[in-house]
Amino acid sequence: MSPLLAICGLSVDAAGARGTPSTPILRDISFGMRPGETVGLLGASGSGKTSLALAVLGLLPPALRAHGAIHFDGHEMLSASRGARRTLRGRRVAMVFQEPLSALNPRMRIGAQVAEVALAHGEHNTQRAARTALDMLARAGLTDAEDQARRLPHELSGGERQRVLLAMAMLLAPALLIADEPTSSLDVTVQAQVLALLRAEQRQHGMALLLVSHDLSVIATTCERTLVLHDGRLVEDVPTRQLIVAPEHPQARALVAAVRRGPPPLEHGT
Amino acid sequence: MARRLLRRFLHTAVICAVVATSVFVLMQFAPGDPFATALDGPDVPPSVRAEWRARYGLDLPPTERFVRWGIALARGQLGYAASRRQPVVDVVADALPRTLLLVGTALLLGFAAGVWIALLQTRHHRRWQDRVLGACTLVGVAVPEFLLALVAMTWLGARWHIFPVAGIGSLGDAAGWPLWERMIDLAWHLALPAGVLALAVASRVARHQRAALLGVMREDFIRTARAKGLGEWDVLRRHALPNAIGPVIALLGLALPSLVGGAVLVERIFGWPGMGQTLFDALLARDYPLVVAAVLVATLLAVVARTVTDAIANAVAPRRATGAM
Repeated sequence: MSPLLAICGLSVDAAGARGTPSTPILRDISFGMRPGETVGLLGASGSGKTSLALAVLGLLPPALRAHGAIHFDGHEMLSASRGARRTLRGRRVAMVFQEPLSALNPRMRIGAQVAEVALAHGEHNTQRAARTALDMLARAGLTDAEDQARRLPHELSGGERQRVLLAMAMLLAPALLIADEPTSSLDVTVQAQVLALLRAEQRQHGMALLLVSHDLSVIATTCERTLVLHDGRLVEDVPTRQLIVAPEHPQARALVAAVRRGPPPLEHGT
Repeated sequence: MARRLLRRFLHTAVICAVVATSVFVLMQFAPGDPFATALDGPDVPPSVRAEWRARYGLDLPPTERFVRWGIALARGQLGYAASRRQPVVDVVADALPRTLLLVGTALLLGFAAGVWIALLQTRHHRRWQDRVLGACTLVGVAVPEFLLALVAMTWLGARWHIFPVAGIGSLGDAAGWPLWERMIDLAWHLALPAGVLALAVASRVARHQRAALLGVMREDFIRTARAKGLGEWDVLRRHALPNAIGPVIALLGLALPSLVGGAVLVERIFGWPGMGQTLFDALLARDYPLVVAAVLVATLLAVVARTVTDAIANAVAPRRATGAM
């Protein structure tokens, strides 16, 4: 099967101030994802996980420069026009961000924020978009979806907000969903529910999932294959089982050992 | 709500009392009085001067005049404008609507234009569009209104005859025109003074709105909006602007007194018979009651504007705590 996503020799640099050399964020990353595949992206804070995810969407901040190639769904994301990338975002590739409170517009009602995805991609009937959004919110496990859709983000709990972000990302059944630490701000019970929801949607629509996390236990329960990112380099690309049994790279060993020792530390990766 | 209104009303009353007292005291230090130009000549006998001053109570000591004047003011009596030979209330009733029309038009136009300029600048952040518009708004902030007024009057009015140079309506048989023609005539006369004030407002609004928008554009939810596949313009209009406009509206309320200050000169230059013109003439004529009334009206306008803009800013920012004055 042809790959859905193929990244070849991707490097990302932060442009330095005039005269100073630029700082590398990602160095020579190459990997591929098949349609429907679930891949974990594991790495400590500051290892470049989020930059990698943003590069795929073409959403790197202007100060970051990307080189190499990102083939997605028949498009070359780095050289595609702004318009072409825009029509892919939200429809073919979607992203769930960490920190569900700050990722939602504080002045816009939940229902409208979800419906907006459909409206941005060819749906012109606002009522139909609102109904689609309501259905998706209910499917994402939001109780009283109709009532909640009229609320503002700060009126919801953290778990509910994360479900809203998931509903937003999955509304148009994208081919690839990138979830950046989707559970790191949730308590363990809600964490499990959110992961189960992701898996269910994946089975139903054959969506590929790139799960970004610093927490091996989250990745181990979800992903067949795991990439380990350390200091901007891809140091492991192995089946998850093999990573847990016999991690090769010292950094991978450290991450595995951290899970064996006990609960992961309370931190938010970047 | 009722308690907040009552508190605001009391605040307003105190502010008005302080302003009225200061104006009264300051006017005592200014040389001359309402009859100085008319009567203080060598050919007017001292008895005539004394008689006129006694008729208007100007021969009494300042403290007694202050008490009498304060009591009358508290009763709502604004007094008689000697320079206009009209009760002060009538003068204000004529002039105030004209000023409200001028300042209101300038505020609405300037606010809308300023927000649009800021949106354009943010859309093209750090490109030439941003720099050119930024230079324009800097000039608009730095150049005083009266200078702009003179330039506009010279070129658009006197040289090119596009707009009338002064007045509020055409002379002659204009009074007999049908209503819509008189309205067009009014708008035509309004264009220059309102345009000059609107430019000043737009420049200030644009600079603040741009800064607020750029701050909001760094927020996480902007990235979410882009990840949804929204175009950059929709991201700005639907997500950034609603989160950035509240403080600018509140700021507009605070800036209104300085706008009224600019309006005084602009009215004077364009011969717009509003409160600014009235205050200017009253000051020259030492028409104490009219000066106090004009200043009080301006004070009330500022307080009302602040209340209204605060209410709007609160309405567009539902998460902001209410109750702060």
